[in-house]
Amino acid sequence: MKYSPELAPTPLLRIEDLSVFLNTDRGALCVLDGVSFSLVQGRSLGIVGESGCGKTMLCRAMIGLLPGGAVVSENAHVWFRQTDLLGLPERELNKVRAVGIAMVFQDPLSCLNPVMTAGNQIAETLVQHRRMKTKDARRRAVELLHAVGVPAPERRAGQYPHQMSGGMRQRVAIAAALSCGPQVLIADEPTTALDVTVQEAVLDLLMQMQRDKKMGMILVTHDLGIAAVRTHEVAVMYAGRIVEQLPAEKLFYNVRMPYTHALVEAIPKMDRPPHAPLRIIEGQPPAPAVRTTGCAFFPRCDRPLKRCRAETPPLRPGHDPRHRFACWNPVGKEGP
Amino acid sequence: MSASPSVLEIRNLKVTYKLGRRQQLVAVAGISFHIDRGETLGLVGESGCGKSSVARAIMQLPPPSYGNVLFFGEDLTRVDRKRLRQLRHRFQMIFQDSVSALNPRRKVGFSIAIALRATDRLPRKQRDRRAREMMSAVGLDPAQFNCRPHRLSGGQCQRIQIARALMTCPKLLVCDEPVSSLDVSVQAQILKLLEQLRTRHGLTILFISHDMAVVKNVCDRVAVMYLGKLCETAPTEALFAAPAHPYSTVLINAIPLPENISLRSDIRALAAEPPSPVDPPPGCRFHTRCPLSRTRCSEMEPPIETIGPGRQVACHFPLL
Repeated sequence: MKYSPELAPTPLLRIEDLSVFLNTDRGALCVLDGVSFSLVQGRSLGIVGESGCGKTMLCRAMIGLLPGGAVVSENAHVWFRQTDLLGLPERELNKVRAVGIAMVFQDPLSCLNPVMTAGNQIAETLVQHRRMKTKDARRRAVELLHAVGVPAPERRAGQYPHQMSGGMRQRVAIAAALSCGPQVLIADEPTTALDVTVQEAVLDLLMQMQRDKKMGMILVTHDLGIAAVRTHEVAVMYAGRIVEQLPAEKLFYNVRMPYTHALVEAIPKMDRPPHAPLRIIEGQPPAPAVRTTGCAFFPRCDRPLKRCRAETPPLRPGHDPRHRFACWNPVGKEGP
Repeated sequence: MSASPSVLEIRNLKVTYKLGRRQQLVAVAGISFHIDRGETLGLVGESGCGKSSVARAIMQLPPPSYGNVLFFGEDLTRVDRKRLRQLRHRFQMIFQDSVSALNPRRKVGFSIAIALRATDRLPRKQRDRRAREMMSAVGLDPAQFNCRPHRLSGGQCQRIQIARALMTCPKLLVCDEPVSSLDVSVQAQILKLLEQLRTRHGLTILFISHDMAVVKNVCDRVAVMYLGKLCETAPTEALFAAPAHPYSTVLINAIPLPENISLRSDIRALAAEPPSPVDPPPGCRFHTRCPLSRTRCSEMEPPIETIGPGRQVACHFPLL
């Protein structure tokens, strides 16, 4: 299908030039650096990167849950439809949460209330945001648990989080997030704490819900395989910046940014015989630091230019307008 | 016993834990396998299937409830404490959580060097020198000798653990999920380091992991475990080309990689999660989740049978 920007629907969510700084005794650390992207209805965006690259901070910024002491740059915008969520008072923001944008967290045990039954937690959201009567909300909670594949939902609704397995808890968290029919679902590493078989089932559920309800979904993960297989589009983050954004089907086959290329090469593949050497990236992912100029990947890059140290490469599209990358000396070539 | 015994042979190993006064949890319910010299055996399965219990039983930390652990033909469960202490330096272990496996109050150099105090009676200066040499051999800066673990990253702590394990020149290395808490780029570094050290020191490795793609890349043979029992053991390439046990197929199908999606069969587990190991199902333990199960599976436990060169499977109706 040919891409034409005029035909693209108006985005549900549009992030513009989002930078976030954390004030510490080491100075103002830049945890997000000029992040921009948009998400349209019915599409999913995978955000991948190694720990400390700013994935979680980005999720929190979108839903107004940044830690105290975090400073957002002045020219940043987080547009949800026609509303800029940045600078919105807490009261107004609460109207957007759950109804407009909902979130599923990495660890369901710590995001669920341990002294409240699963059913009541879901019902609470409905009473709060949908002004439902408690009785109706409880009935709806059981329906939701059924919809996310919880067996014996009536019995489970009366149970507490500690009585459930990790996969079951994550289903409860998903049911709570979906309870008010959000337009955007942000899932922050929803399967990292789960076994591979359970991971499959939870991702199947998320994708099915996203398709059925035509939500926009942001799936944050450190696993490039999941992003490639489970999303429409992938944004790769490094040191607080998006360094490459591309259609998911290109992720394992045609990338331009050397960091993405090296990451893909570092993943153990199925088609290689045992003991085949992996290509590795020397060094470690950088910790958040005071903002500097130049490409953050420069010290680990195997094809650096003089320019890479001096000038920060902008995130720009190549011939394919759907494929943006931030590199002065990209790998590979133009093409599908 | 054959003329050249395997480096490690496990016979009918059982590990049980007490749960309260009457109940007990059978984490490992009688498994047998062997690892030959220079071989890397992968042990895979979901969490709670008993992988780590097997590792600890091999290390005699604590000794298993039942069964034999033969290390070069010598039964570690039978030898006296003095002999076990003599043997210990020849089998070493790397733990999953590298940060908590190191003493936070000790300098990492000390943690590496102390391995030698138990075995060689070397003066301290020489021990420290050997520790520094080992640090650079595993890709660490010897200047970090005086650091404490909290100053180092997860990947560096994992290198410290590897250095510590290799100080005594072991023959067998038991790695319990050595890369599962690491980032992709660091995971690749550690896997590469383990491969280099394996060839340089002629190590025999038991590699425990839940990541099938990693196992495919580092192991010669794979043993698949489910609820305390072995389902299948097979040479790696043969297993991935054509798994014989439905559970192996389920695990392989769950690998989230683009090239895997197009190739996979449509065999998937019926329920996402395994039943509790406290009360395992009768008959074949996998029958409650097996898409191909028949009446016989719930009635009779399948014995483990040889079905090809180096291949064993415990299934009434194997896929081969």
